[in-house]
Amino acid sequence: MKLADFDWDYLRKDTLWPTVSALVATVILLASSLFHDRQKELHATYSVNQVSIHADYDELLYRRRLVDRYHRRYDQFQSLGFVGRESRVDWVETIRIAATGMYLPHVSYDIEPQLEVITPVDSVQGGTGIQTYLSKLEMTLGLVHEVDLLRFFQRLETEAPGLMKIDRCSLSRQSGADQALVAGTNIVANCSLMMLSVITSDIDPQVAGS
Amino acid sequence: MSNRRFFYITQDSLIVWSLTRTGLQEGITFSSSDEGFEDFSAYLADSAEKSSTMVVDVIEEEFVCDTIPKLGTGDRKSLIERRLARKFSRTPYRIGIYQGHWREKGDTQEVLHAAVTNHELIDPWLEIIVSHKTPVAGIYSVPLLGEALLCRFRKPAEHSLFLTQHQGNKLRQVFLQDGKIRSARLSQTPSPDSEEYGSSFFTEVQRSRRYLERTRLLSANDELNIYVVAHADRAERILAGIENRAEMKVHFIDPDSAGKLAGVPGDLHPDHFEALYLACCASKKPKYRYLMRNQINYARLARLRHAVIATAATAAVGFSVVSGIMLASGLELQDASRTIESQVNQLQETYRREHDEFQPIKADSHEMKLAVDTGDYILRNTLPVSWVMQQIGSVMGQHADMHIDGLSWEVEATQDTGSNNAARRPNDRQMPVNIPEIAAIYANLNGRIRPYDGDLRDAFAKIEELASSLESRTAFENVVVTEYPIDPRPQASVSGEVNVRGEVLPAEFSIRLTVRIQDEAG
Repeated sequence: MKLADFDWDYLRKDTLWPTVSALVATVILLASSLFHDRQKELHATYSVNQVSIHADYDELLYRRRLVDRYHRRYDQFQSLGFVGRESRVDWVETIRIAATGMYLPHVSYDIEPQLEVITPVDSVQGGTGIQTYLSKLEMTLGLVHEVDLLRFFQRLETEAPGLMKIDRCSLSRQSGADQALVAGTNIVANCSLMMLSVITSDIDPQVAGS
Repeated sequence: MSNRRFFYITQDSLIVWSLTRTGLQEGITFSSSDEGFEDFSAYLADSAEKSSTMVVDVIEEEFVCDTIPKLGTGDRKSLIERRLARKFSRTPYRIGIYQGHWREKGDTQEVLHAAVTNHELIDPWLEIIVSHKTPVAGIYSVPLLGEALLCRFRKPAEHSLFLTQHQGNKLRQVFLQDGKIRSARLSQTPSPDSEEYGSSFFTEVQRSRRYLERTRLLSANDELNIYVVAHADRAERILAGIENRAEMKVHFIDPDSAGKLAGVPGDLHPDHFEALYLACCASKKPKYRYLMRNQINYARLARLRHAVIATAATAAVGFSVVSGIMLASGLELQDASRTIESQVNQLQETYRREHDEFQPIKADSHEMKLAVDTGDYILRNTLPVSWVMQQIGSVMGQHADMHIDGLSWEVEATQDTGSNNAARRPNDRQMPVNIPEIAAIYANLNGRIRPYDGDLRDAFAKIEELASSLESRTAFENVVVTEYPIDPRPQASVSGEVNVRGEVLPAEFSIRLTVRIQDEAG
């Protein structure tokens, strides 16, 4: 069919309104499609936000549960001096006061430089800011009675800052001391121990581990 | 069946036929005169939009058989078109029908050229139709429809002549060879009710035969099968009129059954069997038609317009439905988004409030947990100073003559404590060390028996008894005497002195005690 064979007036008749309707419907379709896409996008964004805030909130609840569970114990460790910087002065002072208070005939100590420790427990969720330290301590005590050893270390445990870990100890009676002296050295004790402390992010890093 | 209109063109008129559910009805007849044309134009003005079909049933329609060599489709078409134009150059209403290979004629192909030789019979009507923009489905020829029509009624014989009474007093004869149209005639007859109708019928058949023989479409010896649509009474009259039945076989087709087979609803008029052709044309689009040359084909434009309207309407409805669905879905999503937004806001507010309450705790909760777990770990792996002394002291009270001179203990770690990991040079950075778990506790006990009278057997027994008590009554699981007052082994050398004044050497001993830590609670 050639173009000349077309009678455009004839073709136009009755086709105008359906064509206009189709065009209007197309415009409406495009508009509703745009609206739909926009709403879908918004919905996706809000859904992601919701998931994210839910995750944050769950994390907060978990942290709160951790705090509820560990807070008291943490405070105990903090008051013991385990959480916090190691204080050599406190240690030496505590040894001196305990020895003089117990009238121990002789006490000598040798504290090594502090070492960094691989934290023995792991946490995959956080706590990377924590650092554990230890200082090795060699101690020689002149005792009147072996009970003095128990009392001395008991006093160190309660008064000296940090946790104390005794790995080795030897007691030997002074030779020729068949008759115990009332105030002299009857028993000599040699002990190896560790002083342990942890530094968390709420401890001032400038002085931590000094 | 749809309501259709036929413009049935005869030699001197145009008859409007309408096909409805009730039947084929012959309507207004317009004569081929100025008055008739004006009337037809007035008639069309009222129903110009109605689609129509032109069916031509005129005397001045010519059929010429031709042969062409075997050719490809394109060449064949152009050859047929050229020959057709040469044969019927003065009429646009012409058609060349390729009929294929004929049995007896070797490689040649048969072609039938047909044309309405007097185009004036159609042109005035068509001009009026086109001027009213009435869609015309096609211009069909009655003889060309005969081929398909006869096949509906009977299987045509080799040489068949199909006869039907048309327009009251005209006899349409269509000659078919092997079921293919080869020639046709329209002749005048007396009234079918008259006495001479039978003989006139026979005369017309004889004329047709002579024409066919003259044009070599039929030989004198060929049997001609004549198929006549006629009622029984007319059939008798026709048979009575046939004088010589040699080389002729007459078959009558009952008009009622023919009407049903052709698809004519209702009864047929006995003198107007052209209705059969019209019904045939209406029920199935005929194979052959004359083209409307140099005229706008409004039927095609009407189809195009309908297609545009249908497409646009479908698109409008479809798009509207899809738009509605998308809009509903969008509104639903908008609703859901608002709900989520409100939930998020609420959650954010709760989070902020909780977080503000949580803020005063400085240490990170995970650090807090880790510090506490580390502290607990150290406490679990710490041996209290009093433990060894209490364990041994609880047994020694029952062995009054066994005196301890020295006691030492140490813990065995599962891992290297890192004591050798200290920096070797002053500027070396020290590597982190481990805090080991307690694997075992070893204790060494040195002592002597006092008083001791020199009785070695008694001394050995007392030492063994002490070792046994330590093993059974303390947490130590392995207690071994490592030193006796003398070394009793045969391979060892032993030296001593017996003093008659009763002085004896002290009976010294050593015991090693071990406990392995199975679990974490040391």
